[in-house]
Amino acid sequence: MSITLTLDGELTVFTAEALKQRLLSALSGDAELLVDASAVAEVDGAGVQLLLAAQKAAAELGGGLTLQSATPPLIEALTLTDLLGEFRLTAPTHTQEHA
Amino acid sequence: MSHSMDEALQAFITESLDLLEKMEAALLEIEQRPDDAETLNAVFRAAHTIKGSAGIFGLNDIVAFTHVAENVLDEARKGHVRFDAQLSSLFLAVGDHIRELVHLVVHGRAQDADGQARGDALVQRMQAILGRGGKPEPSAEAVSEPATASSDGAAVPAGGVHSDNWHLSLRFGIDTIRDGFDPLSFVRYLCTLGQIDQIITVTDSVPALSDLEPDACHLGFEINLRTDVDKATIEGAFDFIRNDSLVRILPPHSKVSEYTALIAALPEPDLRLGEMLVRCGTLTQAELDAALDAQTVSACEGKPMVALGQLLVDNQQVRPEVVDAALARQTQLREGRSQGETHMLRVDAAKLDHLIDLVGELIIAGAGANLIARKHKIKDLIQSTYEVARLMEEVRDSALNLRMVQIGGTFNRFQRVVRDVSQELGKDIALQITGAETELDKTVVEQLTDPLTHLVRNAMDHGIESAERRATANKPAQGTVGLHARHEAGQVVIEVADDGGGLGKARILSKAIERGLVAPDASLSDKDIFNLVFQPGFSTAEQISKLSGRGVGMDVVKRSITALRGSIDLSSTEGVGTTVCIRLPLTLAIIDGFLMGVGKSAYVVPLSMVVECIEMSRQQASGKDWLDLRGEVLPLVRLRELYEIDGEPGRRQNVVVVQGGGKRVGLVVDQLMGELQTVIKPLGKVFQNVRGVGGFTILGTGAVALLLDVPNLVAQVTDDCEAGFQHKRLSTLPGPPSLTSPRPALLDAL
Repeated sequence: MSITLTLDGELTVFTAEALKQRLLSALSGDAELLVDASAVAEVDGAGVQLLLAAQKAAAELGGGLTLQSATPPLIEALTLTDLLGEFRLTAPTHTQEHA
Repeated sequence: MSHSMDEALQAFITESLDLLEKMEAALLEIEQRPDDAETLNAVFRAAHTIKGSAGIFGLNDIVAFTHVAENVLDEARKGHVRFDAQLSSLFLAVGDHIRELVHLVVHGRAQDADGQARGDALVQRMQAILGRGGKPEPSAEAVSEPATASSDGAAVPAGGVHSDNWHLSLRFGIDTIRDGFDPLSFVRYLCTLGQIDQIITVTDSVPALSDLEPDACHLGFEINLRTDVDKATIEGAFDFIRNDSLVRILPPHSKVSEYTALIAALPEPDLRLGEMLVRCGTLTQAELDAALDAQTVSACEGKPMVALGQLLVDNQQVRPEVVDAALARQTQLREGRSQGETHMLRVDAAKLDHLIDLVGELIIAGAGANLIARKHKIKDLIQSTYEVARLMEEVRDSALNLRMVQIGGTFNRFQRVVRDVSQELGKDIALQITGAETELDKTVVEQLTDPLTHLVRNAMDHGIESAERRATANKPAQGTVGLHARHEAGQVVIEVADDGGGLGKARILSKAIERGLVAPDASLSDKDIFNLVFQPGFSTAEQISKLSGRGVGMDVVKRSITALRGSIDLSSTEGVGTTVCIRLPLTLAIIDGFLMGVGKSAYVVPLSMVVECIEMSRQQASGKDWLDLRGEVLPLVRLRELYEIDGEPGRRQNVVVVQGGGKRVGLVVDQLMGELQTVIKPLGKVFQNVRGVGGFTILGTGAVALLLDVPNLVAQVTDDCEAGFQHKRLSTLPGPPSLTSPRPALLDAL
């Protein structure tokens, strides 16, 4: 079972606080958290850090975090920091059908 | 820049000399207990730190030489080479050579051919040991540092790691994002400088989501960067975050030891960092092993790095945040591992002197304020000036304490002297030290080394007899030279004692007569005879040896002690031994004084030397030069006569009993004016030879009071007195001095 959360266009310090609250409420139990990143147009270090923290929290709860339909800006940021391998990534359509 | 560089270099020099001293002490210890792991580690640490610091300053001679020494020590630590007395002997020479190299740095000179040859010979001997010890792994890289011999230092600098890339360690400050910086942008910028071969995002300190403040930064990077730009350009990228972030940049082929330092400075666990460095391709596994191996060693090297670190920041060699982080790290380490270790701070002696000078002025000003308050009889003000005075007293004490160092450090240097000299002389001599914790002024300690060296050598050369003679005299085969220190009546007493043959009075006397130092028919006390050895041009050595006996020395010793306002005495018992006793003032700057008045003049003596004060009538005081003080003869000194002060003595006189050089005299004065804190000012050149005056001080009223040099005064008077007294006894044979006048009233026992 999984829960989906859709990110807005910005994954930056300016949206981080709001996103944190949304991620917190979305995280529950050992459920896999699907983060729909298809709309993400801008990413900065704070955004990457937020994803890392969310993943840590999910792991602590016994679940996991999957990035779904990561956009080029997100991919670029994760490549830059060599964190791509740290996240589970999924293609867009496949998961949407099962959501 | 060059100024701070000088300062940093100065710190390196001081620390290296310190470390060499420790190394020497450890080596001497090993001679007694071979293969003691702890001591061996101490030697290794010293060599290791010297090499590391020398590397920072590019002192290649020292690095190269110490490197070989370090290798041998490492082998010994691993048990491949036995560290016996022979090896420790070699390493004493190695230590000497390093010290020589450091001294060359001090004077900014290059090594001469002689020194070079000595160094080469030592290196050869050490390498012979390395060869003999049989290294199991000559396969270069795995050894703590690639052997210099194999690489010849051409393509890759000695001790450098293999990687051709820069290594950057970044730990962003918590406020980096809040301050408007994006950690990612730094990485992007680095991409424009060159190619990032490998990057690892350090996420260890990123908390779980619920604890995360989204605008706090917990990120860090380990970056392996291939670029041709220089260090300044790379550093420039971090100009704006430098104050709060940890930025460490290591050029290609940095030394393994620098990575060791890096690992120590970064907050993550060593093994985790090591793993990251290997993953980055910056270090090979073998290089990492070497770095971590050194890490375990350098973990206890907190102190030298601290001081050096501070200076390197000024010097722009290392960024403050790096040092801050390293300091925090070291503090943690130290607190975690050795709670009791003291935190030391090196301070420029000139700054300290300035502080003490100011405190001195403050005390004078305070005394002035008190005087005015009393003059105007303002009760509250008087009260508060007392309170201020009390506090100033404390400030003065702590300020003076800053200058105090234990004499143990100086004493311990003599372990080596005694060892070397006994080998030279073929005598078995042990050094016995007591009172190493006795503290005295640093200036005094520094100037004591030479006289003490001379006395110790003398004791060993002339004092201690040969083994055969000791055997016939029923003495233990091993001779003993003792260095003893203790506090006594505001003075420090230092004794150099030996259990040798003692001084032959007759021999000294005949020699002195032969040299024309005394008249043939002079009658001298034992003390006078012994003290003849302090006369210029006196030597009793039957044979002039290399060490002493050239007839210079004892008089020089006496002069240097006198220059420190100290006194020196020699006592000896034939067949039992000789003791040279040096008395020194605790400090040269401020003392608690006791103020006395004669006529209109004021005199000060150090309070610590005042034993008691006695009131007596003029009648009692006049006529004789001594006083019966509870059955003891107390010689009297009339300051009025001594300093030729006009006017008649008052109706009542006071006697201030002072003690100096183990003897007492009574100073006859008009008035007792009580205690005061005295800032000693040296006398001008014109008055420097006035006898019995040690300096002057300015009173609160602005008047000047002379400071009496009590030991000097006492010595003069007791000498005169002893001679006079002996003479009197011979001629008139009076009974023991009896009290003919009423017993003097005890005024004040201080």
